[in-house]
Amino acid sequence: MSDASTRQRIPDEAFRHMQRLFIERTHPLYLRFDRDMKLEDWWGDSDYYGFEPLHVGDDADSKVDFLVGVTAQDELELPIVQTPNGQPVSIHVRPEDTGLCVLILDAASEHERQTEIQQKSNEVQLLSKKQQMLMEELKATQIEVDRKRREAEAANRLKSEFISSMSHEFRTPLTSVLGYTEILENTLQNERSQLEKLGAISRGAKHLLSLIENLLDHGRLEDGAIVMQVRPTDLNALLADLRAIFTPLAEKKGLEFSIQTSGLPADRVLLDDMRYRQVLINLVGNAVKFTETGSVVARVHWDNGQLRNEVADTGPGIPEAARERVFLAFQRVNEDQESGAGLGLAISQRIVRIMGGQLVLESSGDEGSEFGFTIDAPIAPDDGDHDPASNREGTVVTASALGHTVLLAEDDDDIAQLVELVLEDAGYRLVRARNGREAVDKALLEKPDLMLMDMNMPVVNGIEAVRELRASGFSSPVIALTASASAAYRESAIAAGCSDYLVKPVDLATLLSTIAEAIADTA
Amino acid sequence: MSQNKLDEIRKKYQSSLQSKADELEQCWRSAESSFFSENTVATLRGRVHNLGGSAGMYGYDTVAASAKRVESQLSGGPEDSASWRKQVKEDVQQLVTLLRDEATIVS
Repeated sequence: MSDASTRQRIPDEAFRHMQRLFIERTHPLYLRFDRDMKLEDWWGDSDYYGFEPLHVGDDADSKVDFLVGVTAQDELELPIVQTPNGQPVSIHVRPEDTGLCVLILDAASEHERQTEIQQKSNEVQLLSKKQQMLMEELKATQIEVDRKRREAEAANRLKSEFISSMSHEFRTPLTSVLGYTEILENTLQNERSQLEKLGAISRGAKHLLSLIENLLDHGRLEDGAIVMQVRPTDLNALLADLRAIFTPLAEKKGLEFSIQTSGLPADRVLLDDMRYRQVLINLVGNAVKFTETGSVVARVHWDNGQLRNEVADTGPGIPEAARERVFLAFQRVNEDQESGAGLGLAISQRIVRIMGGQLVLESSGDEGSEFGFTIDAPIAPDDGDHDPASNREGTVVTASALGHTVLLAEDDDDIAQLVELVLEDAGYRLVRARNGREAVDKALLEKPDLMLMDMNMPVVNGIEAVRELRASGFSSPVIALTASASAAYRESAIAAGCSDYLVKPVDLATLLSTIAEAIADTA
Repeated sequence: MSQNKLDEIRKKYQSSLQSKADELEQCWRSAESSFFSENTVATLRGRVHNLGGSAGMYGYDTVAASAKRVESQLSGGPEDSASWRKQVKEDVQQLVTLLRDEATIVS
């Protein structure tokens, strides 16, 4: 569309309005120079831009400094230039037939917009730099935190190693003292006074040994090296044992001691009985130890697979200031406390946590304390006729044993003879292998219902043998028998294909119940 | 369980303690005279490993604990230090003595 046609289409009134708006907003200053760049004419407010008063015949470059060097033939567009009074303007220079036309327009709003854009861009750059700096600081902080964590872990490891190595150092001579005491007790059976003295030595040494075992337990729990050995457990029998242990001690101090049970199932439940017993012995032992008058009550309630335990006493209670640290290692409630390393509650708390619970100091005041925890204890799968009492003696004959074959892979004749006797007595048919190679060959030939596999065997070790068997499609349960109690070794054995893991020396009743369950599971 | 059979194998195990002590002592001498070659240390470790497992199962807890102690010292392999050799020697001797003492007790 041409300028003329545009002009024709816009009514005069509208066009004049546009002119007014344009002039108000842009303050146009029109200058016309002749061919020699002498000012011929101008239109507009030159004062607005701070120019000196204009006169016809003025030289262009003497009045308007941005026209220095500009000739009458030049065509120029200068987007943002500052006039003498600092006003931002845009300059438009156009040659004409008789000279040069210069149009100066107010560019304050454009300048403001561009400045704003520039500021925003600067701000973005600044923020970006700040972000970079913060990222670098964060990275440095992370490195520092990592370093401090590593240092703390190393210090903790050193501490644990120190405790562990010292405990081992103490344990050796103590084991020796206990061993020789046992031997002397056996040889001096008729010499009462000497036996009493030996009894005192034995009690002292056993006390020291239990402290050391606590230290070692603490270290192992910290390392995660303790593995829960969940097995069918007769709660009634376990609590009867606990009652038998503590009743004489409580009576000696004139305390009332009771174990109150509710909802206990007749069936066995699945839990690590050794560790559960350890926690109860610790809690009840502490209660009896620190209570001088009154009573100690242990309450055990089972409901739908959950085992709730509470131990309450009428002892001196735990001062408020000490309540938060009762579960911390090496912390005693009172510095004048009789004995102990201050590890019992810390160990119990860790065990309860591994069992999926939380040991809590429910209440404590002037009239005693109450500790409580709840753990999972689901009903154990039924393995046929079961007599808990005979199980404790290791002489149970289960219906599931009859007619079942167990392959025992064990290079040690002493262990093999004992296991053979116990299993045959329980009704199993036994096949023996003396090394890993023989174990694989006999397993594939005899197809036993279960294998007991020593892990440390000549020719082919237990883990390799299990791997080979599983690769050959052997599907019967394989129970690892090993002297290594580490969690890592257990994981390797399970990863190789073992169904369960027993640590030597293994309790014969546990061995029988584990075998029976494994066979029942495959039935 | 047949108590007689159990007593019988327990007695058999006790009567083997003397020879176990002798074997252990022999293994230690071989290890010492070979300047703790890997083979001799592995043989020694195997003996104490088995002892640690079997003694515990037959009720000889002190022997089992002592054997496990020696095994844990040997499990890192032979160390070229006089204090390590001295410590292991003392512990092996203690284990041998314990075995011989247990072997002589009349049940």
